[in-house]
Amino acid sequence: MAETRAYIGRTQRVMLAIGLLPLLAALLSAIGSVPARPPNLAAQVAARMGDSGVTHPLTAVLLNFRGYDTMLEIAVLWLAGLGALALAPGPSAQRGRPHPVLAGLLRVLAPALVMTAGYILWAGGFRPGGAFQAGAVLGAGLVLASLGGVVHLDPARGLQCLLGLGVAVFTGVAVWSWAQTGELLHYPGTTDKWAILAIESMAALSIAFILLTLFDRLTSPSTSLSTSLSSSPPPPPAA
Amino acid sequence: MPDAGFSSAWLAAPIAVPLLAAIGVALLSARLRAGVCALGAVGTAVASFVVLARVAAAGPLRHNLGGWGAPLGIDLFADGLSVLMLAMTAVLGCAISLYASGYFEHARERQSFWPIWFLLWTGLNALFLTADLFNFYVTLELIGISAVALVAMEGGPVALSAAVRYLFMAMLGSLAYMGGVALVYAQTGALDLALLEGRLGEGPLGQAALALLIVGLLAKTALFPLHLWLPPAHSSAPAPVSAALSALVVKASFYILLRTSFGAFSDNALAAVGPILGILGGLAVLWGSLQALTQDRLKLMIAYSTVAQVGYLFLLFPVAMPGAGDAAWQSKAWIAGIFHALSHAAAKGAMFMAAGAILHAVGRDDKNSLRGLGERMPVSVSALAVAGISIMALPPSGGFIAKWMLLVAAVRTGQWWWAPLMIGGGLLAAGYVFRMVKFAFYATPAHAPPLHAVPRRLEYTALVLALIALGLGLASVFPIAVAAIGAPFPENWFTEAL
Repeated sequence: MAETRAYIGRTQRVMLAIGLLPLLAALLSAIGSVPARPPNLAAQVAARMGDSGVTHPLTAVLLNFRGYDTMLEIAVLWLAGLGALALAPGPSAQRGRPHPVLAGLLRVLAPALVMTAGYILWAGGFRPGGAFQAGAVLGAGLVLASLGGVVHLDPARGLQCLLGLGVAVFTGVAVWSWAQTGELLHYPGTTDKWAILAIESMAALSIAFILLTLFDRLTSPSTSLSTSLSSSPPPPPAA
Repeated sequence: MPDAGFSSAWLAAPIAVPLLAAIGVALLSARLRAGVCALGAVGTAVASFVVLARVAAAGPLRHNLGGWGAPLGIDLFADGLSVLMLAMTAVLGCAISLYASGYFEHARERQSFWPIWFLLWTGLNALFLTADLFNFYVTLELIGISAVALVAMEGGPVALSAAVRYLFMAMLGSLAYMGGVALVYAQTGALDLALLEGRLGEGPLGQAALALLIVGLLAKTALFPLHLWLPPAHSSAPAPVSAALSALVVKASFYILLRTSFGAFSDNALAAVGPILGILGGLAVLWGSLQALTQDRLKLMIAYSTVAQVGYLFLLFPVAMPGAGDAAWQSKAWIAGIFHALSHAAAKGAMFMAAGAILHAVGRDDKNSLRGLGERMPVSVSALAVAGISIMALPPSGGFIAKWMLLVAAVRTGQWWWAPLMIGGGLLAAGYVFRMVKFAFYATPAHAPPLHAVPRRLEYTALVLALIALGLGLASVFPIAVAAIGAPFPENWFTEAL
């Protein structure tokens, strides 16, 4: 088929790579000239920390000063989950009886993972942490549970709601703050902290399920997604 | 501009409405889908036109998100260029939504398409309204990933391989753009476009930053020779998606390039790269047109035509470049470029929609299967032909006005050598448009298989868009006046021409 052939041959690819090397060298030397203390906005962030509702500057920037960026980024993550489901709508790969060893391990690990995720989420207010990290920990737990046969991903409406929860709450808060103050994402009065906490906890939950969805769809043996991304034959279904 | 009746927060409405529609259509029950989609599309269009009307009446608008203001926060900003892009997206968005409501046959496709399509719309509107260099990156991701997912929806091996290539190119472009933003921030400590004006130094760091930004954006806009991903991706996607990609998505990264090179980075960028962008644009016009002439499949002809028409957009850079003669004529080239983006969106959207209806009815779109369609599918063939009038720039179409203004501006700024290229490109376009239509006017073959029934809205949406492309030439005064609002030139051709 004409459209699926390679654009350029191997020799040309090597030539292209060699031709690009001087450009890479020029780029690296330019990056080397970045000043040792580049100008930034740290002083202005520090000056407005008191108005942000949190005490950690990273969280203040991500959820308040530049909260709009984060809202769209959570929409991008949601989109990744939606895209994976659109490409591979079949049933989950990980079906079957619970795996005895993994299920046993999970019984020990699950409470610790949930506790850790909750702590990381709460810690985001005053030290490094927050929704993305907490969501990653929860997501790891969910992937383990799915491998152990304890959790089955079912691409139905319930899952759709879990995936979209984070972005729905963030958008809801944005519209609510707009109605209250006339400015999108301007949390009224002293509600900063609670608005941020609501957004972060729901976002963490959605991120965890988005990660589970991506893992599950990529490992499904019969999906077009896994076969189009790898040239190796799909793995045999689990016995 | 404080005004009791209008808050600058309305700038957020064209972003919030499609985002809410995406959430609603994904989370609510399937029974409510048609209502949510109709409400989302109409609501987004209304919000976009409210912003357009406001900017047309009272000039550029700025809104501080979260009440922080640049440099700490992110600002939304709308001038004539932004609101015209917004209006273009609104018209095409409504047409694509209407078309898609009749196009997808399987429940699974409908369930996948709608949330992703509204997220694409959100990303486009957010991109046209932001005033922040990093926020551009986030919107580009929203657009790029939803576009790839929509191409891959088709599911066949051709579409999947095109989607994966598109994904790699889009990621590479984003990575380069992101690297450029990081270098700009390292040098200036600012991300807001207005604050960045004139701040980027002339040294190697500034040059590296600009090179990364420009290459990343060119890859996403598919300017020759970085266009290789476009024809397979645009031609193998479902028809409403092809229309969205060719009409709107390639304009998004072009918009960033236009906005930054005539604003924040005009001191450094244009003089050095303006002529190069013009030459690449010229090569794109020739190469894309010649490729379109030799294709055997209708959708591939249309996709290569996009490669050529994207080339025209870049001719505005050398002509409108500071120092290229009198500012009034430069502003005319700038307006011509914007007008070309608008009329190309309508014409190309119409062509892909008509091609989708034909593909739906015949089952194939190679040139021989087009035989006899002139009498069997007159509405779709008319849509192709009328849209073709604008693509080959015959009067009175929008394409004619755009290319005529650009040609006059090129001659008046002493750059007559672009004129033969533009005329030659128009002739080549006539060649491929006539070739598309020619087969449709041949007699119906004796054993032509019967056509599948096509929902009427598919054919008529295409025809309406084609008529809009044609009518833009007759109703060109208002868009041209809006394009002049906030245009970065000391003198303005449009106000002087009045």
